[in-house]
Amino acid sequence: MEDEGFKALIAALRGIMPELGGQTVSREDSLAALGVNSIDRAEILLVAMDALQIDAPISRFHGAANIGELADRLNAARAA
Amino acid sequence: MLRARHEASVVGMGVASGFGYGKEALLAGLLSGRDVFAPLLRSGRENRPGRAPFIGVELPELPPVLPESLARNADIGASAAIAALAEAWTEARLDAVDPERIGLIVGGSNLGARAAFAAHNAYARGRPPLSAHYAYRLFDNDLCGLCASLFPIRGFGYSVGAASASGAVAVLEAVAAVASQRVDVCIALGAVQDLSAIELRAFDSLGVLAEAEHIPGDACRPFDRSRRGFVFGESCAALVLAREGAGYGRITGASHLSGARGPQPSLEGEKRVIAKALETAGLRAGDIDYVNSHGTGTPAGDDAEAEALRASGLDRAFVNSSKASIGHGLAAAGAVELSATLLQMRAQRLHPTRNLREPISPLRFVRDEPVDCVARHALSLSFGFGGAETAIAVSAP
Repeated sequence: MEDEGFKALIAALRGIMPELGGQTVSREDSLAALGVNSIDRAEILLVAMDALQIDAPISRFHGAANIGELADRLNAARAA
Repeated sequence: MLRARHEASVVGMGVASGFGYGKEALLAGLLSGRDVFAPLLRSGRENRPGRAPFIGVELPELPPVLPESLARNADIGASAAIAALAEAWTEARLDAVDPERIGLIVGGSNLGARAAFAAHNAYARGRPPLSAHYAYRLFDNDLCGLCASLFPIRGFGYSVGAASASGAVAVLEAVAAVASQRVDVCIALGAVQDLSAIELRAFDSLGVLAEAEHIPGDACRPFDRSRRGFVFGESCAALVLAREGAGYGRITGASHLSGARGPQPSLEGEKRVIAKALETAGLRAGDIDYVNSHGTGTPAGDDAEAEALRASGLDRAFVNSSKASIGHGLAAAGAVELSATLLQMRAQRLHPTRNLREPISPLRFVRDEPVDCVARHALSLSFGFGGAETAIAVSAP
């Protein structure tokens, strides 16, 4: 299965944090380590969910260790 | 003792107005009588289809004052606040003051109406997603946090609301905060009232908004027989109050009284507040050389104010209205106009009142041209919906 969750997250991340420039981001990176604060993290998830046409509470994404885990939860919400 | 409670000096000042950024731009613009009114173009201020656009004054483009991470979630009110604060901060040398001895009072409530309008629209449509940032931006004290993110203000920060007298009330609260020694310096910030089309429409429905005219700059005519209402104008000012220092001048008397709810002006309230400001300053009406009026251009408001000035014995003083030049800043007006008052006192020159051709009263209005005037004592008046009446007496250093 295509990793649509990851693609949507990266697109949202780059839109909201243009200062990342060309920096490569992988599934193992955490948003916090990239300098994303808690509000921007919510914003990135909202934009990614909008792109994937998911309507889920942000609280469902608490506690994810890295971008990969967030992508997995997005993919799961999409499949549901 | 009564007097000491109301005394403080203005030792720093920063302004943003339709004339641009900085107090020099404001003074030069006011003295020039230049027309800066135009159709309002910011997103969220569009009038209904088939109606002429709302008119007013929007702040010109600002050089970037915010770091990118903050700029993304800041509107014109936030950028203007930081620009005005930076100007005032540098002038007052606040870097040399203990951060815990610096307070900040933001004048204004419901400041971000345009952001609220956008949020309501996003919520109703479902897309784009409602921004998480709206959860804190909806509070007026977000400006306090923004200011404290960029400047070491650690004493206290809060917002006060008194409609169109908010900026003046922020100044009076700041005076009280330094006079009582709660802090050593206090910043009063008259914030941009970022109206959306909804609020403009409501003012229009109430009958207090001047209709758009062929030449937008002709619509605002305070104290003129043909006046039709006020015209909105974005503005912002930061004033630094301290117990000592010559600065721009000294606030020697002030009064803030409350009256009945509603948009109707109160002649009695205005007379009382003028009398009390004079009394606390230890001045008589004849000592006042200049009055910066509230002067919005609404029919009932100007009538009441002109009568209050006359009945208070202020017919010898020069009177002008800054709103005729920069529009009505609502929350910001009191702070911006106190700044204009002090700048004119320093320049010893008073600005004309645009569009004043047939005055409603024999008061000594500054009309078509600036006048030279060594004003030793002046009054700045601000009145607001909700029964807020304020008068601030200032004396030259």
